Amino acid sequence: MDPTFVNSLITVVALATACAFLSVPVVLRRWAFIGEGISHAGFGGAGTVWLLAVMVPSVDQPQMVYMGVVVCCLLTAVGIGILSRRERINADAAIGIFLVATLAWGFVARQIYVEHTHHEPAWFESLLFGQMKNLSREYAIASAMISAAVVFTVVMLMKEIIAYCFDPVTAQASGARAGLIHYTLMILLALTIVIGVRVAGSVLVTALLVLPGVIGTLLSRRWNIVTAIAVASSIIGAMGGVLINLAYRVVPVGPAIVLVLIVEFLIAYVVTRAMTRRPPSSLADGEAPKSQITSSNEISSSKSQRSKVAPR
Amino acid sequence: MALVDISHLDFAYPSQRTLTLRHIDLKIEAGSVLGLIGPNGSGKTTLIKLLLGLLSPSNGSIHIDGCDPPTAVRRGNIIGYLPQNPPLPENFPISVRQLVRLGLVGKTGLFKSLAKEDVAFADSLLSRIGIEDLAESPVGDLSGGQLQRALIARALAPRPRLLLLDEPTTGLDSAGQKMFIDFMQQLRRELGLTVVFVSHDLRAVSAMSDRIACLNASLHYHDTPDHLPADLVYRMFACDLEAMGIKGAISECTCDMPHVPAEPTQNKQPV
Repeated sequence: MDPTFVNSLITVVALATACAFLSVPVVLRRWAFIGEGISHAGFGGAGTVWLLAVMVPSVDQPQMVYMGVVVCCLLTAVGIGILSRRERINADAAIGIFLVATLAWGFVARQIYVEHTHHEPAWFESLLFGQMKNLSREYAIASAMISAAVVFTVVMLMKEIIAYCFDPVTAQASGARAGLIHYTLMILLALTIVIGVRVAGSVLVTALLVLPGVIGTLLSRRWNIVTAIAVASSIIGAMGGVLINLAYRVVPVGPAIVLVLIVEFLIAYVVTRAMTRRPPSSLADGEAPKSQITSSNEISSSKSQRSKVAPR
Repeated sequence: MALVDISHLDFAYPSQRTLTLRHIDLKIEAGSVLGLIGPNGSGKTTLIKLLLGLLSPSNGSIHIDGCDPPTAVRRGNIIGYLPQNPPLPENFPISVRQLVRLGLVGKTGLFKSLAKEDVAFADSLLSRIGIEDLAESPVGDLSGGQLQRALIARALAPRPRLLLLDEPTTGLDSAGQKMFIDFMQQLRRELGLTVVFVSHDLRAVSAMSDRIACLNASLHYHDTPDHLPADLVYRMFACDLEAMGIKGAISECTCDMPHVPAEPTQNKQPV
């Protein structure tokens, strides 16, 4: 088998698995925009290296640019974490601030680099749309190890992550280390995005952090099953994208992965709609659905009443 | 013996020049129910946040079971908390049983599995609060009242010594409030809890509490519900006790009194 194909397969499966485990908290915490913020921060890091390369030509190497991307993504994740947790800025606004700041810095740096060298800097197009060519064995192994670390951390902190996603304030009030979980999730997202930017590009890596979690929550209401569905759909999407790229070289891997995930989402959506429209068999027999069962001493309050009184 | 000891407490939010809470001295006996009342913006929820260690005092000290609030919270089995506006988890993918077990997360600690006896106790709460038949239902299927019970069970799961209830009767009709109060009285007797019950619903507070603390930035009263001065309530809430269903010193009410901010008075009987 072609070693490049094997390296690509290992990398995308590792990426898909890590993204799927994180996509459930991302969807439930409504952090869908966070992937965009952290991944675009890569432009800030790359831009800094491009400017350094204008002054010190020996810095002008793809590895150095990638290091800049990694460092900037990690710093941005921590910055978003601090702003959204400690300051009076909500997560969406914090992400938006970092996104535009790093993008602007990156594009200014690119323009200066092009003016001086008269060619595009290393990694410019790859950062936007990903690049699967020439993936080394070392990169594939590093991706697998980072993915394993992400999955291990999420599994070990599962009960804290669930409590944090349900309600951060109550989790903290009950003694859970909500701050630690918040920053750990940010760092794990940054690490995963660093792999994802190489494969799918900064524009499309968000799809891998959102669609698997959405598909899982559409099809199940059990955390473990949601996670399992997210992992399965993510791996199918990733492998599907690689195989499409193998069959039709004109189709880039990143967009192919996203399109397969979109098809999976549409199928899940249609299936869910069909299931919710069908009347439950128990209702046909005149039995109340389980959700309507109340205990004999039920406190008389309806969800609609509660929503009116205490809107969230 | 006092489970909670608040001494010379002042608190101001960084963005505000005035003190939100000033000169608070309050002791809460173990096993008692304290009703904390006051008008909107009087500092009730701020005091709860200070007890939970979510805010730090500007001056003074708080001790819960001999610890400062952050230490008490980190131990995971001293404080149980029912928030004022709990989330409405329509699509959150956990069962009611899992939700109740989330209360054990702080007590158990990082990287550890839940202890079997803690899990058994948390599961037993489901039947004790009357939602055992909903244990495997998704939390999104619960009605408001059922969800409130599940959240109380979650707060009780680590067997806390102190239960903080922040506006628990908000959104409940009068029948629901009565059921909630009966239910909490029963739980309190069974589990020997110390309860702080925050509300501006005087009827609910007076029915449930051994003592009432009347808060409006500073502490204006701390005694049994029967001795609550009517004019103090009138000044604070601009209405009379009888209309609120509170029995006590109604004859003392000076009903033509204009609604003015209440002045601090000496605590009648610090506990």
